[in-house]
Amino acid sequence: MSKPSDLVQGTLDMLLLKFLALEPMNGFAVSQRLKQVSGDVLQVSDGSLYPALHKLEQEGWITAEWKTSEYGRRAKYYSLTRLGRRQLEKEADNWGRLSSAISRVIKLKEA
Amino acid sequence: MRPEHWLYTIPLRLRSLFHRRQADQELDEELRDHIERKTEEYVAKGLPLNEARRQALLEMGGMEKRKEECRDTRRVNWIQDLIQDLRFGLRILCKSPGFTAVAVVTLALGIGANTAIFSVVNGVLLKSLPFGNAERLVMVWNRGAAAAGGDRTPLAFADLLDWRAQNHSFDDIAAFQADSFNYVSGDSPERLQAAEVTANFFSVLDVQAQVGRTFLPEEDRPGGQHVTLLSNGFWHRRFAGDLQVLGRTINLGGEAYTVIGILPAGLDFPAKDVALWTTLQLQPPTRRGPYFLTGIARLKKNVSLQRARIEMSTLKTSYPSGQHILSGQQFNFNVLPVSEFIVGDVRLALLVLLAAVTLVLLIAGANVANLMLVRGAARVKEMSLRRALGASRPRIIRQLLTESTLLALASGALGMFLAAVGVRVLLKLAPDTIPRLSQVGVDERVLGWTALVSVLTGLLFGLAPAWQTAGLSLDEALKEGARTTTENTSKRRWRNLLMVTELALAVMVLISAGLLAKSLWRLQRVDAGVRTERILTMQIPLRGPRYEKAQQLDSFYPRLLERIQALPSVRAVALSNSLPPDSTEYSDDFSIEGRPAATNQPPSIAYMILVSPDYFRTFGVPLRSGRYFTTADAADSPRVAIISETTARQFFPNENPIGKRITEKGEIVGVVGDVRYTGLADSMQPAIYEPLSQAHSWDAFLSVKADAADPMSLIAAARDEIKALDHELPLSQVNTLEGRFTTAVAQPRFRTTLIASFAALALVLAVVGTYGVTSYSVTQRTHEIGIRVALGAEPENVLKLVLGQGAVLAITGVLIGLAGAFALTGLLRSLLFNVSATDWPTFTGTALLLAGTALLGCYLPARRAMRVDPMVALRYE
Repeated sequence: MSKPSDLVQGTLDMLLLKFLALEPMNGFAVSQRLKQVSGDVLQVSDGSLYPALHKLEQEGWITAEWKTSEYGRRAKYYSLTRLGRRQLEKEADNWGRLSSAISRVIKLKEA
Repeated sequence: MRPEHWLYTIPLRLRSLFHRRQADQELDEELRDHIERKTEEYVAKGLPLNEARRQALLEMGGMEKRKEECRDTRRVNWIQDLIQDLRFGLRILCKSPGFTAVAVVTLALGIGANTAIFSVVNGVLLKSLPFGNAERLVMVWNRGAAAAGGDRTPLAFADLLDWRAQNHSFDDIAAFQADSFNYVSGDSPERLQAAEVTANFFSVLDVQAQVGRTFLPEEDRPGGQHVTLLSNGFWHRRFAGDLQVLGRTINLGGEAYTVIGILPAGLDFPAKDVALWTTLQLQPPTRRGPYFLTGIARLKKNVSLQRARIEMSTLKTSYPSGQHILSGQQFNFNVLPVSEFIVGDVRLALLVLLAAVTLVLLIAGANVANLMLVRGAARVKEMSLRRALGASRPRIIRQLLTESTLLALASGALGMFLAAVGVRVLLKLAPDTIPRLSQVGVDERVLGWTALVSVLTGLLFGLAPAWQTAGLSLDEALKEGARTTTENTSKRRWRNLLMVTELALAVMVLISAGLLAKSLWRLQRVDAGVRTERILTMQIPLRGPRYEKAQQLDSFYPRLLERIQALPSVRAVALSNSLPPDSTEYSDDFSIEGRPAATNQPPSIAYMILVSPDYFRTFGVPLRSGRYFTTADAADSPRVAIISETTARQFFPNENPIGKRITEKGEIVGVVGDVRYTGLADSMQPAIYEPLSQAHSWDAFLSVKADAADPMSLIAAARDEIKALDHELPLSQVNTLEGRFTTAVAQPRFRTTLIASFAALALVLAVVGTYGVTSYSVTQRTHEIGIRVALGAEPENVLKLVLGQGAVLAITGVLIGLAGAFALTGLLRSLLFNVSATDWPTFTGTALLLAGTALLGCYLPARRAMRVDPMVALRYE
């Protein structure tokens, strides 16, 4: 599966979970949101987005529902499950610890 | 956590499996929706529609690839892939029926032979013995001189009592003795094999009677009631499985025995054809001997065989001492697990056969792998197309492995059928002396084995071709498609490797077969010291009240001899208690008069052969000095004895034995040539002959030498004469002497026949493989050879080129095989007779045979290469 190279392993999952925690949305909306929020820093191609979403669904963290979208088209809407919320908390915790540890290391003064 | 997880995932998996089409459609819809919106977005930004769509698709990076990735997340994809692969594999296999048939038949031969041998191994070695906790049962003998029975010298009753008194390692100790009875019922007397056992025999074995009960303690005391247990087979055969027989008495050798129980079917211990078990009822011993019992005991739960052996080596005799074994002496017991007693050296023979047949399977598999490599080359275009469409390499390997496994499973099914037929043939060919053959059959373990072997074969021999075929890079494939000038080197390496492996394995199987065949050949040519032609033999057991006294024998035997001698076309007739090549009644210790018994020396032991006067003439045993027995050596004349050459050499090294006296046996009147009585493979044992009229045997063999006719034609007449003397006498072991010799080598012959047929199969497969490899390589190189010829190469050069390459491979294979055989044939050693495990004539002969046939396999395609017409070859594409 093609992974965005500049994204730390597993963080894409976390980002997707977070977006869906805010509100249920379809794949297209997720891709736009990703771009809006992160600008060009996080380059997630459309190609890697869908496999990632499908993986989260198969893990039972998000669930999908076909609804009519705001444009009047049928679209697949993803929303977070209870399991997904727990997973998000876990990953956010991990991320917090990891990033603060890394920034502590980076801030060390050179002798 | 988990159950909640499943709550979400199980419905998803089920949906992916059973509503796959819908799931795929939704996936398609989702992605297409994305592309459309993206396109709209770009159009809104001012791009033309075509360009906008192209951009959107580019960002997605290949719809089909993404879809595949999304499908991969479903976890059940492999099931669907498998089903798809299976379908596709079946279609492919059906499309090339020739290839499929050759591959399936080749593998089925290998798998079938393997399964057939495994089902014998399963029945004889793996199925549990009919005892409770059989792993704790041990058998016990004395260790003694070879003439006394070697490592399996029987125990004396006193030994048993000593052992029981000093035992710490065993829960319980029992003993038995083989016996036989004349069973009389109606007018068909029958000889039955029986075992006389101690009362605790069945509790030691942990076997209960199926009906009735086993023995009570008081039933094996002297004067106890005569009771017997029946085997299930005998009960069904003679009493039609009637329960009324319980409590009834039956006539065994003229005495009445009460039937107290029936044993479960399949209990054939201590011997295969035991029909009855009775109690021993031994008197307390007054001396050490005689030796006639075999011990069987159950180890305590936490005592190892090793510990029991150590403890038993510390036991000392305390019971009344005999002539040579004194009280307080250390025992020398031989303790063996019961499985070793029952299965014995058949285990090694079977394992060797299983190994040989596995090598054959490997060779067959290598041939099929080769076929698949060739076919892989033909499928290069298909594979490159698949790769171009985005199939990953593992995915293609998986598909090809599915194909080869499918092939192997089809072969397994056919092999199972071949094995079922093969086992039936095996059982028909197998000598009765192989234990537990009744247990051989197809059960779930055999089926499991076949399935396992098939799948492993499929994977093992599918892997290399699959790796090869899937591994082609795209441009390479395109190039190969364009022009097949020279063969892909790595592919050629694979094929060469297969050919070398095949030859090496075949060398190993052939050498094993060669060694066993040479042993058999030597065994059959052992000089037993007798002329075997035209001799009819049978055993006449004299039992019951009519033959209680020795005088009764003395009047019966001469009359019998007289009547038979009077028959037409009988040249000579004899009675004896032993028969070559492997029937003896007993051995005994002896001393020579006037010679002080040496202290601390093992006793002098010899086999005692009791014979009627004409015995030596009947069997053609040559006289070395002195005289044969005559009718004048009667019961009341001075005792005389004849000794064998080995006895003379061993006990009278530098003196003339004639005229010397053997204590209690009389004067030595003759020395005769050696005769083998303890098997053809055994070393020659000392023997002392006594006249049947002076020493007595109740189990004599009658031997009739026919004039010219087939000895079997004398059976009816001989039977009539015996019946005229006593109509209740059963005859047993009716056979020609040649037949007895054949039976003696039946087991070695059986295993040699089997391994020889496997070797033949291995040879054929290896040669076919060699032919296939060379032939294909010639086809591949037609173009190259054409160029060579066009540039002026002579046909001989072409022949040399092709043959030379074949020869290098053949010699490599043969050398590797020789090295492997050299390392492994040591395992065969105990199956070999008078042949070294590294017998060089066998090794060189096999090497030459294989190298020769392999070259022949190369020669045929090489000749084809020689005739390549350069014009045709260059145009050929």
